[in-house]
Amino acid sequence: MDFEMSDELKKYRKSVREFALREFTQDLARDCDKNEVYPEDLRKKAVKEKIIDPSDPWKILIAVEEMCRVDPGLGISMTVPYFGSEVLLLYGSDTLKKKYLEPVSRGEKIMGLAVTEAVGGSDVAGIKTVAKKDGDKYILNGSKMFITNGTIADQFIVLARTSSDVEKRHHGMSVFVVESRWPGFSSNKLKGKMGVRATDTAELLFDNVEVPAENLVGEEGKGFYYIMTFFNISRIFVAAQGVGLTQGVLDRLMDLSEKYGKGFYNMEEIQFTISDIATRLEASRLLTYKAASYLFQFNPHPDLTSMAKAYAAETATFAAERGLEALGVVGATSDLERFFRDAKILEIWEGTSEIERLVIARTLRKKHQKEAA
Amino acid sequence: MNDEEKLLISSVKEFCEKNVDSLLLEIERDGISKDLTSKIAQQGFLALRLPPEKGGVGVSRETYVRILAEFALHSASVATMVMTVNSVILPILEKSEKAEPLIDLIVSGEEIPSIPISSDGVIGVPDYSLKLDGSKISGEVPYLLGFGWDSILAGLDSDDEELSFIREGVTRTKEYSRVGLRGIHIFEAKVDSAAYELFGITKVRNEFSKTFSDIDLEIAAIAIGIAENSIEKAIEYSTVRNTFEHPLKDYQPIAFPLIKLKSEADVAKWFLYGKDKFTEQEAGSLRLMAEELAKNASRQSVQTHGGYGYLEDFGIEKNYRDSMALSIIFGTKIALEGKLSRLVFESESGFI
Repeated sequence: MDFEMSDELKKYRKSVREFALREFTQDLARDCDKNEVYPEDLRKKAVKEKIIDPSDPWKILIAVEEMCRVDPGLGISMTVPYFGSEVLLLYGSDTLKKKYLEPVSRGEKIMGLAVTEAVGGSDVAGIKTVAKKDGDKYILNGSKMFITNGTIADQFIVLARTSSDVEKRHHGMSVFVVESRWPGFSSNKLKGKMGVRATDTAELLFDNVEVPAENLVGEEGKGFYYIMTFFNISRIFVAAQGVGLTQGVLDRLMDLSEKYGKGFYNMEEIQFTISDIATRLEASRLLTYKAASYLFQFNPHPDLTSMAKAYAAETATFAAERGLEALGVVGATSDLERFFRDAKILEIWEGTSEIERLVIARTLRKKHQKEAA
Repeated sequence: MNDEEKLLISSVKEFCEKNVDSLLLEIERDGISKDLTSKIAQQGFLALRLPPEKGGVGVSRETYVRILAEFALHSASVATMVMTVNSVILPILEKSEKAEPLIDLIVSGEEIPSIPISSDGVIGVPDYSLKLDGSKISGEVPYLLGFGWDSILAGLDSDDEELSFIREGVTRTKEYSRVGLRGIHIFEAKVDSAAYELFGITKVRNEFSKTFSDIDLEIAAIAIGIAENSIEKAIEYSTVRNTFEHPLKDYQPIAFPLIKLKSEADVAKWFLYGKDKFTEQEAGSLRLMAEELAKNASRQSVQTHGGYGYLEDFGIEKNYRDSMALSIIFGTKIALEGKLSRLVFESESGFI
């Protein structure tokens, strides 16, 4: 057991941190937050400097962590253009990978994942969007809600129902690659989010969108399983968002405590707040790395992944609240308030904390029953 | 409550339904408008605690805090403005007859001056540096709590720290983004050779500290209003929103936390509405509990609403931000716990 990262990853972490500290200026973070603008120029700069290496999952995880540490809104914006790529990587044909995945990896195009619908957030099997086979194409109708990159993505991984004649609700669903330039596709930006306002979120509408049959990802009817597998991956990166955000809160708490002086830091209440945040941060980080380590070796442990996601997300909220409470008006009028607003969504997206707990309990039960047998 | 008090509280409800509820998003984005402030003043809500002989409504503190809770059910920002005027600004100005013209301006909603607040939130002493420069005043105030006007009510940097009212010559040098209570403003200001008015009220830092320290019950009432609103909305949503073919309320992780929070809010409300008089310790204890409750309830409400709770259009996330801001602006938990420790241990406690 070795808790140290390789020298290569340490060096990479340093380079990402330097980039974020240099480019994530307070003005840019404030502007993107205030005006709900996606930082496209920053993304291009990150691509040009090859800051994010989508070929190495550890590097993506570290990039998410270090960037969210400096600013969660900008950090997530920089790492989310690849969102959904894993579905293509795991299940897409070589043709689809070449056409859609490679431009995303090169930073030329932006990907999005369209699963959630207005009527069923956590209930993926309850989706209503349908794709009906018509000769050599599918006709897509329906809508999606809370879709990250919704108005900026060039293409989406879309989950739709392809058959209603099924024994179980989660059967009969399929995944497609849908280009945003196709007729019948439209999107409406959702404004007024509490936090992560530099990220783009939208409602998508599909009105008789013609999807070529070759854009079906993997096998028809297996979409639910593909998406669940994807969530096992994406949840690790949400956990990393939580780790980064919490580290950012701790950094600011330490910095502002210094500003207040020795008398402030000497108060046990402040010291205990710092200790509690730091302890939970370390636990979140270890849990995240452990779950990631299994996942990145193609041996996912859904219970560990969900533990990491739920715990790191809840720790981020805990840290942001405690940080603000400790620092009073100075904290509440600093960028810490943005961290507070950004934190809460981590407990909601990619599976709420309630869903994560169900996954944990069900996985543990299966393991227990297997051991008992 | 007697019939008159009940009528007064129901008039607050009617007023908010008619004048506040439709403006919630505007209040969040642009602050409480002067027009709304004027309407609030016309109903006498800015003079709730002033005695009738001075043109006020003269309600008891108990009725007053229930009115604040009712306001907070609709808008915590409006409740906080009403509280700041009635419980911070007017009690200080009432100490001098010379301030009566300014009091008239305030209670009529024509001008509500900004007041300095403490940056650290622990000691509770507001920060400012205002010096006399001949017949003019100059200086800076790092954190002001404002209501749409630039005028300032703050002490001078002199031995007697006399209260000054500065109406012109104030420049906002920084408008802070705020966690919550966005209907009111927090800003930094520079005062440059401004004319001023004095009232003979001295030792102003202590006056502000004292008033901030005396509003525990009022803050508790606003926090209870935020909590109640958050829980009501979450309960309503969980009965109409289906997931996995059942309403949310049928799932224990949704229903049980809401029931626990509702129980706590009900108990807090019974305490607030059931007592005729509150000791300093009781008020402080209620504030300590209510602030935590408001944060827990509003956080849980966002969680119950999922992605919709995170969007401002639904009015859920506002409660979460407001509850956090409320627990910070008028002094932090450390200050409150320090005060309660002194009361419980009957000597200075919690600080070496």
